[in-house]
Amino acid sequence: MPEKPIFRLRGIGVDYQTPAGVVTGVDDVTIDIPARGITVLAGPSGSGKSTLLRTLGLFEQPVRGTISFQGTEAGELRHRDRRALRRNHLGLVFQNPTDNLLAYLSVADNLRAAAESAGTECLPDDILDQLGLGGTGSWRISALSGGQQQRLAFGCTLARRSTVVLADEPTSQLDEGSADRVLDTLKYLAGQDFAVIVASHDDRLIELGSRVARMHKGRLERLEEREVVP
Amino acid sequence: MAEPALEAVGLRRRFPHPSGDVEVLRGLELRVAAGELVTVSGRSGSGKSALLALLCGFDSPDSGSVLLDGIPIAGAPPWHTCAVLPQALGLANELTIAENVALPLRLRSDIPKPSAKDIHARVSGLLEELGIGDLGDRYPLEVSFGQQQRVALARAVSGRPRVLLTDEPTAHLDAGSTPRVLRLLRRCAEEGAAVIVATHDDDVHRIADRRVRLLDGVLS
Repeated sequence: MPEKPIFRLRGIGVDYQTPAGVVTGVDDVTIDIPARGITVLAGPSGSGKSTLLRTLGLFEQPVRGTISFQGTEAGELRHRDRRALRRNHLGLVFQNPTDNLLAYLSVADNLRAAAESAGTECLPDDILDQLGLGGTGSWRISALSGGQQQRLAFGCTLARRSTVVLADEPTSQLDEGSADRVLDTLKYLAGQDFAVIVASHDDRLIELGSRVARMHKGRLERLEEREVVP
Repeated sequence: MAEPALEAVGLRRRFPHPSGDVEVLRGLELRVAAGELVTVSGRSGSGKSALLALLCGFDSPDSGSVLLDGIPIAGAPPWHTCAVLPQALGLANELTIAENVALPLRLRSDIPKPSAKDIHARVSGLLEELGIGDLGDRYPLEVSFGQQQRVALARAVSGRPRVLLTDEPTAHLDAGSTPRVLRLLRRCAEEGAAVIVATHDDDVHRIADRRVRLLDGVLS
């Protein structure tokens, strides 16, 4: 990898406390993630891909190992500084489309609110046009389909000018046609020089990855790098 | 009554149910004037929340219409026109409490954006009024649900909306906080908003200009 990685993980371990005792969600993962292109965390349910994604989003605090973002050790940051880093740089798109949006705001106001949250400004109509959602600015969120809501959530990361877009199973709740358009959106974001990191077991999404981290039982089983035709 | 700020005409809304569709609203009529505070009572499941969702444009009726200042609503009205305090609150968890409350002021695109000083004054004034003046720099998930509810109310009113819709605004409050919320709702009406409150709370009904009851899909 010629460029400096945006994330550098060394021996990361994440545990969960459950009634049955401590369960390891991610175990001894070492990986560099590039600042460009699509990185896919692939694997079956329970493989640890979503936990690893949440760790990259600084929502999980690893109990072992180190994680650095653009050279900053995240483990050494105070709670508020972690939040600030997340707000300014990391756009996380959750699996459930409605979890990503403010339901009582219009489509355009969701984009404006996202920009406000990152201290930036945006042109909602331009973003909506870029994502094939032109003309929906005044719509309420519930008038959008699940796929359109998911694309709008990605639009919010554009509005925030996030450095990294993290998405957890963004196509899992969508029909094939809607999923296709979400894949187009991911390609578009990657083309705009975002680092796109996706946890998914959708084969079509995995095919988009310039790097695919195959996860199994919490461990990084294999790392595949390949040329992707834009 | 003065010209209604908010008008619901012949609202019908049906929801699917395994044992057959349920028509929750059956030709409901409601007119609320600017400056009027109306409470809506009714048992759980009577359709109070469904009604608010239609009034704010979050949901569409099967038939009938909702008019804001005489104009049928289309899409989602901006928060300074029609603001909602839903039961689910809908706060942005990545924003501080003060930033959440400031959102309606910052999102207004029809007038020049208020200065940072004016926004700060409005936000801190509301938070003080609701007894959470010390929480502005915290995040929603760092405070209790009752405090979050007051944050969501402060956000709903910060843009001085023409219409304010609130769903059980006192449901999660301690006894000391309820009077603060009631005073604020009353003041919104006195400042000219049409205020509609869906509630089970008799304390809220006592501050109403008018009380209506939702029964069998219509108001009485």
